[in-house]
Amino acid sequence: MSLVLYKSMEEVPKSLQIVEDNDAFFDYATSLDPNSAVQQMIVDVIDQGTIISNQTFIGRTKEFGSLFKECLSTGAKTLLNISTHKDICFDCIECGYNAISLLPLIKDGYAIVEYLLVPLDRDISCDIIRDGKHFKSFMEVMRYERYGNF
Amino acid sequence: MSGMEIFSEYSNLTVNIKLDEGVYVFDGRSGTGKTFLAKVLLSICSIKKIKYRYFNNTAKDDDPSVIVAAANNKDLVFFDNADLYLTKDILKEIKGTKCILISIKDVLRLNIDYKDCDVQYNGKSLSLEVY
Repeated sequence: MSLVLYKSMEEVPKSLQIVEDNDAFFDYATSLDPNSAVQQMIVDVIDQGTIISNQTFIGRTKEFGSLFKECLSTGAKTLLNISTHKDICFDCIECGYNAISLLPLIKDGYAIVEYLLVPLDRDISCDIIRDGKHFKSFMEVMRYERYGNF
Repeated sequence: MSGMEIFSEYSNLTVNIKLDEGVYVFDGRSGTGKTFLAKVLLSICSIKKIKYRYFNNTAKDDDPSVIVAAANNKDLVFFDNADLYLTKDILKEIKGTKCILISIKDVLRLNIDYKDCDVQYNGKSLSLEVY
């Protein structure tokens, strides 16, 4: 399977559930996995945190101790939703470009991302389907977004 | 133009915010501490008698008139998760509020004049930088 990135809600097949409110969905339905390298990287890069259990993480103010998962940023929650619930499509409208740039870490699932242009200083391998085209390089995805070819 | 200034301690953090009147939109990154700042302000503004209102994703099911009424005549309003519910019509209707902070990625659809800002949160201090 691949990570399928739609440009709008209208593109999403009717059979797929769409989640717009990633905060609420995450708090309700997504657990953390401290043994997942992908989840740790998402929390580390976006929130400068470390997952320590399926409900808690340590944030950037160490004196606060372990924090409940709902304290994660919306961007991190959105990516964790996508990586956990492979059969649901998540809207990335609230994701900053630093969160969008981590999408290649996720190798299967569904998301809506209108614009995929993010600053990249090096290429990253990926498994992304966009406009029905299969990409193995995130730089190629960027090039396709900008110029319509790759 | 009068604005507002907050300098306070919150747990082990130093919080420093200085704003002129107007609308401010946060920079486009995730995980900078916007929601954390919004929640810290709930406590500080309550103690310091600053009229503050915080909106988040739970406002997406509210009638726009309810949001406008709650946001009117405040010292500071913080619209978090604003992509989910904030419109230019809501903003246009808000009256008598000094400073408005907006966390939104698709700011163009609001069609407003604003200043860019960013949360600076390093684990010890929490402040707002205006560009």
